[in-house]
Amino acid sequence: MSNITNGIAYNLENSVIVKTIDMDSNIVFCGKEENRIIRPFVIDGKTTYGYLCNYPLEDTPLKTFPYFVTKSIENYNTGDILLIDKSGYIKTLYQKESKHNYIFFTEYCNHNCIMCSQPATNSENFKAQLDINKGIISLLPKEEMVLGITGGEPTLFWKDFNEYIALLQNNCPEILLHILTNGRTFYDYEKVLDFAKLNVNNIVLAIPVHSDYFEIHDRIVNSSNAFYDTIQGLYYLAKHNIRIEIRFVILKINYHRMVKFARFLYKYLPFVEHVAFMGLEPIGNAQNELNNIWISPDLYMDELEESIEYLNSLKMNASIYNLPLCCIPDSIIGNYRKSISEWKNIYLDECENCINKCDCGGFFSSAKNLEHKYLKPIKRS
Amino acid sequence: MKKSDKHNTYSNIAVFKDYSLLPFNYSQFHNKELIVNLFGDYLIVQNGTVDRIINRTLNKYNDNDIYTDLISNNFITKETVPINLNVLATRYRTKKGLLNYFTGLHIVVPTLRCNQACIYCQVSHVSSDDCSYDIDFRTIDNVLDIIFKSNNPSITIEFQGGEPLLAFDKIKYVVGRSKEYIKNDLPKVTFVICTNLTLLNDEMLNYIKENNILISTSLDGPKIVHNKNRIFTKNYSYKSTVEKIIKCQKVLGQDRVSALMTTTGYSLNYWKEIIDEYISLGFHEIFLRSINPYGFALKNCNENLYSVDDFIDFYKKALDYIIEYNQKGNYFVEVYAKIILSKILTPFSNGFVDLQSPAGLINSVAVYNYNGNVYPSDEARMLAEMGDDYFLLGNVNRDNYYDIFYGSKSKEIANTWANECLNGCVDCAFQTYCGADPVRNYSTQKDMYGFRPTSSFCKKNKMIIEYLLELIESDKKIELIFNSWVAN
Repeated sequence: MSNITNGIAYNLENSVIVKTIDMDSNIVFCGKEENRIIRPFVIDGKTTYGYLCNYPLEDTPLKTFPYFVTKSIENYNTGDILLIDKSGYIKTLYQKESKHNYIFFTEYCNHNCIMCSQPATNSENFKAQLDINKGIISLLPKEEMVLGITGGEPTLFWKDFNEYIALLQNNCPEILLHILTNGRTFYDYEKVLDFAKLNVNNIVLAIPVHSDYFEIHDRIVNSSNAFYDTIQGLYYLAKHNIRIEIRFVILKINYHRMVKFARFLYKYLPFVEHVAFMGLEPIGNAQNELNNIWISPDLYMDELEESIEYLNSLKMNASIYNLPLCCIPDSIIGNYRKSISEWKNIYLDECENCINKCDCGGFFSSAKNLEHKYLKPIKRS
Repeated sequence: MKKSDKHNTYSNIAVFKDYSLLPFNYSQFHNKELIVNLFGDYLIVQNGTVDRIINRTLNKYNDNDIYTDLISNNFITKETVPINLNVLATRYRTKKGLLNYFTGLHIVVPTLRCNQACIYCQVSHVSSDDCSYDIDFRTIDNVLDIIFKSNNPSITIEFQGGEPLLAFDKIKYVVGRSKEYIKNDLPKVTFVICTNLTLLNDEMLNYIKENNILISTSLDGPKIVHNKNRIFTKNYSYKSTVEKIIKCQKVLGQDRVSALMTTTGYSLNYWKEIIDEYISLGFHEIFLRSINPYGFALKNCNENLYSVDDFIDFYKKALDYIIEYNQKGNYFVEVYAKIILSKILTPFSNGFVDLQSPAGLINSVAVYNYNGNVYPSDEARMLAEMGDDYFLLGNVNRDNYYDIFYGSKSKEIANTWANECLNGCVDCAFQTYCGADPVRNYSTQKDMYGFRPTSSFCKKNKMIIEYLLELIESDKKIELIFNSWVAN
């Protein structure tokens, strides 16, 4: 989650990972003025406390504790896990109320997808990122929940990745992991054998396949042999009953074979438990390539409808992600998901009075300036 | 291969020149060409395309759509050895998944006696009080020993006749003793009784319910057709069967009772009424079966013999009617179409024993007659009842498992049980959708190898497969209906 807020850190010598806790369960000095808010947190899962607040605590008994002053304190709720940096910012690592929590594993990647929303800069300190991720584990709730693992390509540092997943499953036995990977790692059967030793019933691997034809897929991910390696990896994974989701991002360069892709999916990958057809998030690499890859959704709805109807008739589990509801034909509306993370979706002005707004995922904020002629808001009468 | 050979199967023997060929077959299809790959995936392409594919005049840049389709569907490959060979092997293995385990379907004939005298009876019924045609307990013990040597985790034991309910004590003995072979819930055993139901009483029905046994009965259609085909005292055959079907559905559950119909010459005009009858009884499927040229079916020639064309005409009208019914939002399946469609539309193998390659004989089905004789299929047993023991594999009271299933007769049958190796099939575009049937070939054409140009089996299947492809191609909505039939 890239939700970063600036502020001022007090009494902190290093960066810390904290979890906000319930106000009532703690002895806290509450501000005299009405709009003064204080949120206590625990540090590193131990019994060290600190505070988020929207005013300095110098005149209170709490002034010796680590604390962080920010104007956006209302964004933080009980149970959130945050990284507080002494240089003066907070980064949200886990949001209790969100269904879209992700652990960012690494920014390194062996693909460079034409539409990547978070292109790798290959400058990060992987060990530091790993430390942050390990810090999160002890603070995660123990109940059943879904957590994404993303990158970059999270499986690239294979040993660290495998150990990390094992640690995570050990600490939170009921956690369902949804791992975004390009799947190429699993071309190496030894690694599939490693992976199969984890509790794979609680892991779904979400792997992109962008065409039934190798050259189109390879071109989209900017890597030769990617298609055949990935498909082979999928077969190895299926051999061990590992749960798989396939992701197809709809682009100007692959939409014309979408129906053929759906047929390929059923014939070659019938073992996958879910397939998602996804609208493009026009940010990152996608912004630079926009002319080559962006296509207005109304221009591919026929293909999408035929693909989804085909998969539905064969009882394959297909979903439509990242598109506004009003462009989806009625025949496949059951496959529509309100999927855009709540921290990056927006609605346009013309959507304000649409009666379907609460069922609609809206747009990526990054898509604001693209033409949306196909919109059909349904006005309240 | 000489250049002049008009052979229409191409294998990967060509030298690499931009691409190599993977195995596929082709045929003309309504002014276009139908090409089918090793796994049953097909493409319909413009006339002349096959020629261009094999002569390498196809060009990636000028023929981009067809080129990418051929690569993506694995008709051709960019390498001499395909980079995705493992994937192709897995798909082939999946299509031939029926070979993963030894025989799953075991047909046991507890008695040859019957209380009906159907005009097409394939087993040559004997009257219902002659006990010398019943299986004895020692034979049952030996049959079970052999059945449970199969490594199949899912075994079906099907009671055929005669009328099995005339020997209900033997059914109970088989069911009871089978349980002794089950360890840790394996194998999973399903029992089916194929019965005309007329003798079913409450005591039997309770036993059937308690032991979770499936009922498969015969219903040829409405009263006028059923009674004509299935002769019983005073024309009560239809009334009695339908009453018992309804009772079974009530006591056992709708999905525990199925019915089979046989098409006689008399049925041909009643396609609509026959289907309506099945729908009104709450069935969700019908199997439009043509008559088998065995048993009494051959003796009662006048009623039974009709041409393949007559049957296909009947079949097409019936199938159209069923599709129409589905288009109105109902779910009702024609089983023979479903069997073939699952080969065309899915990557999986299906368990129908009469249309497989290698054939279902021995691989998927074995029949144990009342006297302990073992046959590779029910049709082979029917030949034996007519006096021709050609397909006798052995006897459970005399021979052991290996003598029976790996003996000289089995080996002989194996020479002709794969349509990949039969003249007329090896180069047929429909090969992966069809099967081999040495028993049928033997009974109609006097040898197991058979001769395709005059084979009624070949003609019938070709016409049905072609019609199904036409329907799929004619209307996307029909393909969606077909998909719903074959989806797991």
